[in-house]
Amino acid sequence: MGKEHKKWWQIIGDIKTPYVYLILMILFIYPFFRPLNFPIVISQPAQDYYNTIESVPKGGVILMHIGYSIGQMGDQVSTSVSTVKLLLDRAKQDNIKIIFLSFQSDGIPSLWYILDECGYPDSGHFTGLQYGVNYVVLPFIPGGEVAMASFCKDIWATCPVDYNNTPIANIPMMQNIKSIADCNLLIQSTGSFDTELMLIRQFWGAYKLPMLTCEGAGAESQERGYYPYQIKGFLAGPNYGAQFEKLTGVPGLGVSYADVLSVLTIMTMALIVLGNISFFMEKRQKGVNEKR
Amino acid sequence: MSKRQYQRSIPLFITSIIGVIAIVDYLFNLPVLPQVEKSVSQWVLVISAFAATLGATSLVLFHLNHVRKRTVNQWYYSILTIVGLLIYLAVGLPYGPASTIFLNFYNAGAAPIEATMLGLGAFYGISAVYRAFRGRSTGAIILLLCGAIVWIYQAPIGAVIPGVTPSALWILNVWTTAGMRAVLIGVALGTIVLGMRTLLGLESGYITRQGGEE
Repeated sequence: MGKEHKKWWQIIGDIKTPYVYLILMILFIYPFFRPLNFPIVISQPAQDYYNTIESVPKGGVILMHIGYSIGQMGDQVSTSVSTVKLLLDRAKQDNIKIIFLSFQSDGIPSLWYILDECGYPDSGHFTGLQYGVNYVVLPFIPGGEVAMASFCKDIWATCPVDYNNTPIANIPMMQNIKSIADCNLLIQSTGSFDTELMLIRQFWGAYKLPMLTCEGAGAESQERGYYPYQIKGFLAGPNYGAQFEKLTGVPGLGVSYADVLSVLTIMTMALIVLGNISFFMEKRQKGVNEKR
Repeated sequence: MSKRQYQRSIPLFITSIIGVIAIVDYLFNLPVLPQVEKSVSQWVLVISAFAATLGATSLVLFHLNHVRKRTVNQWYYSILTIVGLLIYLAVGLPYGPASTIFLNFYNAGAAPIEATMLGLGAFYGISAVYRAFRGRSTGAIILLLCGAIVWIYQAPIGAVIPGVTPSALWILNVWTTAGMRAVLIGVALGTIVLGMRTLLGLESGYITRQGGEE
């Protein structure tokens, strides 16, 4: 008895998994060698995100919260790094004060990775900036939403030392920053919708502090619920990271990832179309067989 | 009052008092409350630290049990888990989690493992999408189309394909925003109801023992 030959639509609907993985790997690597340079169009949330940071007055205070783990960096690092670079440039030009913090234990290694990417402690975008004068790094603040509520009321009491165990009272820029009333903007990158809700409840709900978020691509639908009221602007994923890098004029990881994202999206859509063609042809064939 | 009634009543009473203090402090500007509320917040931080210690201890005991029993296909992973935990404790406790040595351990060990796991997810996800996303009904076809349009929009190539951006923005600004806000309002109402029930002592799940005994 011979082997039954598969029809063409059965073949395209059942491509073996190793071949799918092989094609994905090739498509993933190719844009790093031959950039495709798809155009990057600025979206309204990314524009609002940029405008809100630029509208912080000279000498203002910006809180930058990093909470996602190293494993989530692929989706979020481009937006976070480009944001921190802009904040550091504004610190140089307009004397903005930056407080780096995290209410999530996973965020601390990611925070240090981002700072290293930006040239910490005295190179790259950190050139000309002084720790304790232009920026400060707080340690992990445990306690979840209770800690956030306490932080908003009294920063010194909630976080009495910085990451290096230096008392907050001895840090020059913190002399006039005692509570959330002394801050102008919170930028959050949590990697967790629960934590984002807590930050919105405590920082915006109680004190109406303007907020921005830079999250992964899948978070866009969540951000839409709060945009543009509680959240003045957002970046969601590497595409938004590329848009923000275009706005700031500092190319980075977002532009690198953008081509890969486009190629993998085309590949995924093609697979879905092939799978559905196979499904509908199978269904049609069954209908024809039943009529016979 | 029996012992069991005391065991139930005292925690409920403490919960209600602390909750009322937090609410009154938020709504009114009474002179003594901020100090009380600050103390309570600090107690919560201490309790969180104990909870984390309890969690780590439970994890170690759970895996030690597997090692002792030599559970098939499990005991060697349990040894790895315990050794990993002890290494990070040994480095983190004396030097601190922000120290260079701890971050080097984390960046060399946990970070690549975590990144690999999530990176592999992309391959599994796309393969699963290829095999599972079928238009089996009208609703499934609509879901598939909306998902595909928004997915393409989120890549830079979406700006090049005509019709994708306005369609995706319509889906996101109208349907997604409305749906998300409905979910958030539901969550908020549920949180309020649960909070009120907890303050009034009607919600006692947190004081029951394992097996539902009170």
